Amino acid sequence: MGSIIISEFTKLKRYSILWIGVVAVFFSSALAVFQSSTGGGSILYENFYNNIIWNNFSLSFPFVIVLIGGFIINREYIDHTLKNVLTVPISFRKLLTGKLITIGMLTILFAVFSFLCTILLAFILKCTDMSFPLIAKSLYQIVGMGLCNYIAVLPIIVFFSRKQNGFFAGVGLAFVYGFCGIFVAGRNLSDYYPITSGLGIIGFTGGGGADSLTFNTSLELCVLFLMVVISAIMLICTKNYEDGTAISKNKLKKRPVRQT
Amino acid sequence: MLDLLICEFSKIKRQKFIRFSMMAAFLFPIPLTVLMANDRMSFDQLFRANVLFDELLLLPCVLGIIASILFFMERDNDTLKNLVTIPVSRTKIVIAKLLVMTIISVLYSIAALGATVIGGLIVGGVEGILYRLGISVILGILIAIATFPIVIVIVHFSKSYIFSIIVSFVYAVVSFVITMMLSSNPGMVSSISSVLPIPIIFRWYLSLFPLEDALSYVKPYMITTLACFGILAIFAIVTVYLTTFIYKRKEI
Repeated sequence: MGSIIISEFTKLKRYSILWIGVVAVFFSSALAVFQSSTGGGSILYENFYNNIIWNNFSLSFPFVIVLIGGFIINREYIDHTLKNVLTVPISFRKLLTGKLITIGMLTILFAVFSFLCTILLAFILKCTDMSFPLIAKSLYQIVGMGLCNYIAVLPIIVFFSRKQNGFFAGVGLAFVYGFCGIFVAGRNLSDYYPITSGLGIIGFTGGGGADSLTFNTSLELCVLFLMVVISAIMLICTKNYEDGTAISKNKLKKRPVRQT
Repeated sequence: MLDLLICEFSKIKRQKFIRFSMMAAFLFPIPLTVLMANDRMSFDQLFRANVLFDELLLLPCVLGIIASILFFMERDNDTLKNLVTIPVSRTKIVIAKLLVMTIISVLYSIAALGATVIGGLIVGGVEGILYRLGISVILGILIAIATFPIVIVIVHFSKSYIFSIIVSFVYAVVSFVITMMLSSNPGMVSSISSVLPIPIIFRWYLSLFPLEDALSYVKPYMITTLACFGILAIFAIVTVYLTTFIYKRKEI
């Protein structure tokens, strides 16, 4: 498994799609600058990074995770490398598991990048209450929320990994899925909704009406655990191409030969 | 032109995504209906929320992907040379594809209205369906025009589908954020919201229904039907001209 993950990272070096993730993560931080500065006066670091967490889970993270996850799986189909990998032999299930772990690691990297953007922008904005414990807390919360979002979208990545270009639909679905988090957060449903269920786990204290809420952490952990179980079941049910076909069966159907 | 339109529709019969996109019109109305029913909101508010999220946010994303399917189809299948030798002018091809986009946008808009009406029956009380149907059709046309700048980028760069998706999402999200800021702090974004088409459509849309007292501060920023249609007509002419210009310069 280790070598699969290492080879995935080697492949990732060539993909410019990572820049899209970088831009999306930076965009959500830049948007938080506008949101935080509309009130006027000095900006508190806690409010600022809470706005970034809010934008991360509602706009950038679910979209970016499914986009990059779907893309690195799709590359095996469009570059016709799946047949080579299968003949090594590495089963499709094992390959997919390796890719999912890689995406999880990437999510952590993006979350760390989001944290670095937060610190940089906080210095530029001259946030008033910056202290080491608060900065450490923000790192934990941003990375934690990123990982919770990753778990929440795992079933979407696995579901849309089976067909070439299928992940385009998954990306759209993930975007809406993440965006609906805005409606759900701040209401009693946020514990049940996978995207927002990370809020209580990380101890989110920020805006959007969520500050009046008390979270049920054990319920949220159950929801995320359920997402992992669903993904694992979907992964186990994934066909391993034992029949030797790595392309759509429709394409393999021979045209009937006309008898003359 | 009608033949070209029929041809374009025959081609997209094979594209599953376009059929799938009609289902996307139901994505936002479902959670919104649940929340509106929970908060005991009126049908007017449900309709406005659906227009905001389902049409002003999601529709430009969907149309961007559809535009890339329509324009990349000829490139990927190497069929543009066949069309040009018939001969069909490239201007006509561009206009036919943009018309197809507009028709799909109107169909999506009607599907979104259908989802809203179903939600309205759950929330309790559906009114003025014909008026809203008219608005939905016009919104479909206006949002298709608002998406034409994405087509210019897609045709100019002629890159991968991923690139088109990113461009569409960025355009839709930036426009949407400005639209949302228009409702919270209109003074801050009044100048940029007079240039970007999606906020212009929203400013026109606000003038169509009586607003709650809590939103009375946005009244000075509403624009009239004539102004909105005029701006978007000019916008459509310029963007269609630019798309045609760029498409003509492409090598086959």
